[in-house]
Amino acid sequence: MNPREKEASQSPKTKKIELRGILLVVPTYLWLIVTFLIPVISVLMLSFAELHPVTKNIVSFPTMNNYLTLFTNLDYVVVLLRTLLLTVAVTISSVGLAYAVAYFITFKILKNKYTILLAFQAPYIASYMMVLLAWRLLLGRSGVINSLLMSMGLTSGPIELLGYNAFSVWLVLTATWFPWLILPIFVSLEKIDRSLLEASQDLGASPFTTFLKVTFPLSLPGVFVAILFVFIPTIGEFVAPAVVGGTTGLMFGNLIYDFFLKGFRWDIGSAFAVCLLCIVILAVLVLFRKIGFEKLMESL
Amino acid sequence: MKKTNILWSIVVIFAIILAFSPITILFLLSLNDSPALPLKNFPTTKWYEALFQFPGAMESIVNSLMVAGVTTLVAVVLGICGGYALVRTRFVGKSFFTGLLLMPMVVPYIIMGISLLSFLLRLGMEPSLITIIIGHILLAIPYATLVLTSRFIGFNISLEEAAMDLGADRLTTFRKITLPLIMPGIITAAILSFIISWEDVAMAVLLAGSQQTAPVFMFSLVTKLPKFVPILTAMSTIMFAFAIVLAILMRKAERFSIS
Amino acid sequence: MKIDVELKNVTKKYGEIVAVDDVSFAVERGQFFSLLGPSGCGKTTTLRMISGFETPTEGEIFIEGKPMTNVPPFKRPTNLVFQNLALFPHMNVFDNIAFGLRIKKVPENEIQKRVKEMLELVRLPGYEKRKISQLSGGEKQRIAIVRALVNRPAVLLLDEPLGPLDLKLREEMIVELKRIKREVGTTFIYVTHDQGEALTMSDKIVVMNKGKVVQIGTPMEIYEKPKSKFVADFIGGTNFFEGKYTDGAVEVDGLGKISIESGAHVSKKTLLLSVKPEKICIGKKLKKVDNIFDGKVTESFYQGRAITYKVLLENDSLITVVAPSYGMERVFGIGEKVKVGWNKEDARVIT
Repeated sequence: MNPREKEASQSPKTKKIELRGILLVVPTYLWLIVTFLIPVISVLMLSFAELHPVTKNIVSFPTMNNYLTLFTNLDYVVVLLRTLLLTVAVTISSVGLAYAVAYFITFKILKNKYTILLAFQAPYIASYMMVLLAWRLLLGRSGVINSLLMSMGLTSGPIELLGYNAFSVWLVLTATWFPWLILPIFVSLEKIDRSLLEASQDLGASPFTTFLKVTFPLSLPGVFVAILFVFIPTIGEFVAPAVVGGTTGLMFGNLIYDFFLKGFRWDIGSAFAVCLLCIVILAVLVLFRKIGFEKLMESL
Repeated sequence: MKKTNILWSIVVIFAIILAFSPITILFLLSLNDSPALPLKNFPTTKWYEALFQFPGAMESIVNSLMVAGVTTLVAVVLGICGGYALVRTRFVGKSFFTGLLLMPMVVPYIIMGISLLSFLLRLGMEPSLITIIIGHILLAIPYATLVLTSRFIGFNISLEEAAMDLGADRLTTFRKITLPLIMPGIITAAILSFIISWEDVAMAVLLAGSQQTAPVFMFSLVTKLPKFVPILTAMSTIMFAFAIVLAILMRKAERFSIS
Repeated sequence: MKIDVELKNVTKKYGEIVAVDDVSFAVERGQFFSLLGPSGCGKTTTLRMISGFETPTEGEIFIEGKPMTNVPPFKRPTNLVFQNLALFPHMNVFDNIAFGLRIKKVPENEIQKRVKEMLELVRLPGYEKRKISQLSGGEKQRIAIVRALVNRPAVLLLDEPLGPLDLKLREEMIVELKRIKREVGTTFIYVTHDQGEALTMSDKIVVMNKGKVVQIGTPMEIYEKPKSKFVADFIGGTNFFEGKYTDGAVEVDGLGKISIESGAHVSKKTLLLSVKPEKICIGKKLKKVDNIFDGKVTESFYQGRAITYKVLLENDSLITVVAPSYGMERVFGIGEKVKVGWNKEDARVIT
């Protein structure tokens, strides 16, 4: 054992180091506890309370009423299911597209790989809001795409699918997210030892079998990171649905937003937020279990 | 063989269109008479002129700069302290601290935003630029700390010992050796923190009061006053140009500090 | 003689582990002083206590007669050449060497002059503007040494600086170090696990093992008169014989009597003898040698300057013999019967 490891908590010098460490993390600690941990815990508590709508004082505690409100109202359940469906769809489509592009850059391009990789991040130097704005103009019943199609005489009336609806939300989120997911997948593909692929082909596997049995399993860490990257923000999304979702594309995040900023029902909103958080925690745990925390951090 | 190549081309071209066409068209429309194709009276600067007249537009950009600036400053300082502490010192509850540090990265913004909002309101704080800054610092801390942690891990401690051996006290050693050597990490952390704040809509929408950042301004106009959307095309183009200039400057600074 | 560095009963504990155990020694002004021992023997910890990066748990350290035990490194009149050299990668050669002088606020023209002198000392004139990454391994060593020396320390501390160099470069640097030492005259304390380096360069050597000082002496004393089994074996390797003392000789089971130099040895007491491999002659016939034994060659290695034999003696003990290749009529083959022998003054009694 390293003698310095053994030093722990014994000599006065170590105590000094320990004190310095604590002093240095105190500001960050406080920030995380005051602006993150306590607020999230208080929302958790709030979800089991009933608040007076105006004074915000606690009327009764504990109560399951907030959760009952959520699960007994069909409208809310529909939004929840739609959100889950959209999230899964966005995750699959954006990870799939990112995988294809990453695979293409890794194996089909020989020169300037990193320039191409960088170029795919470039549009997002702008901002999320700018991209959403662009899609807002492109989509819609009388948006750029529909009016262009009509003026060219390709369709007689506007294509409803390209209006502001759930399909548009899916399309926009996929288009916005997939460029971000190229990098982690590329990294794990690039790490694969090329001689493994040659060995597989040498042992008689076709290129497709090689991909299925060797390349893909070895690139899974990057895929899981990508899933995490897209899943978490998508399930809590409320900005994109507000911009391109119309009335039929609203997501769970919009409900939470409304309860807190429009209806001022913090208690019900809290219950909704806790539900969302549970889904996220579940997804994260499943992913971590699949691959192990260490490996995931490594590929981050 | 040829068939697969065609398939690949289609997929990649589709991806490029999906990624690049929206902002290209947005840029073209900002110079167009109306936000629709085909182009009419192109190019015109009328939306840019309208933008400067429009109440709140320029203020929101200035607000964004301020919010991102303060966020960057605080996040980088906390990141340096946290990174140093995680790598160089030992303290009770280090793994708890690491866990807590990473948590904001896996919680959706809506949840952090409404939790923070209800908490701050209960404390009697009114939503303002300050509440947005508080939220943005929370978002930026994990990234800034992680970047600087990895920089400290790669740092050879005997360089500091050498400086002290040559007569430099702790402060001089930090100024002349430690700081210059972690500078690339500081710049990366600063770029990340700035972008996180500059780009954020969700957290800012939840925490904004009457003073808005640029993305919040755009969001509220898009959803509430759609007829002013063409002005936003000009606004986002200007912000895009600004972000590119900023990115190039920071890249230069990064390279300068490494050499 | 003036004493530059003195350690009095210095002990360093890390929790339960005792890294340095009651170490005392004194370094005279102008000496090339080496701390020698296997890795983990506490020599580097001792050096780090002298330079101020570690504080002794017990005992005291004096430099130039002043107590230094609780003085931080940046206030000590010592400078250290680090094991990994620790040259600042973001500064050029000039700024690296000038670092200590600038901290001390030496006037800039004086700095220019002293850095120039130093670069001439290590024969690298004109290297001022070079980047550290552009230097070769040997050049880095020299820059690291003068970066410390330019501050005119009372004592220059060197922590195995030649470790990462290849053999040829290391031999060059040993010559170079000795020359630098001669020209500047500063006291050097040199830490190494390489007995060759220590023997070649030092005026005095402290051999350490398991945190303790096991012997202090000149290279010759350490090599020729080891006081313990550890020193005899660690410095150059040796052959051991154990037996009972009876008037002027040691009786070894199965081998016979080994005559030794007369001394105040008690009769019937078990003694340990050490005979260095190169003190043993080997041949078909041996003359004018005090102790002669029969043996059989089991292995032979031709090494250019010398030939190393493993010889099996009649008591089944295997000894190592190093014979100079000069004047040898031939190399003995494996299995060949030979005679080995040594003079009585070459059999050291280890107490």
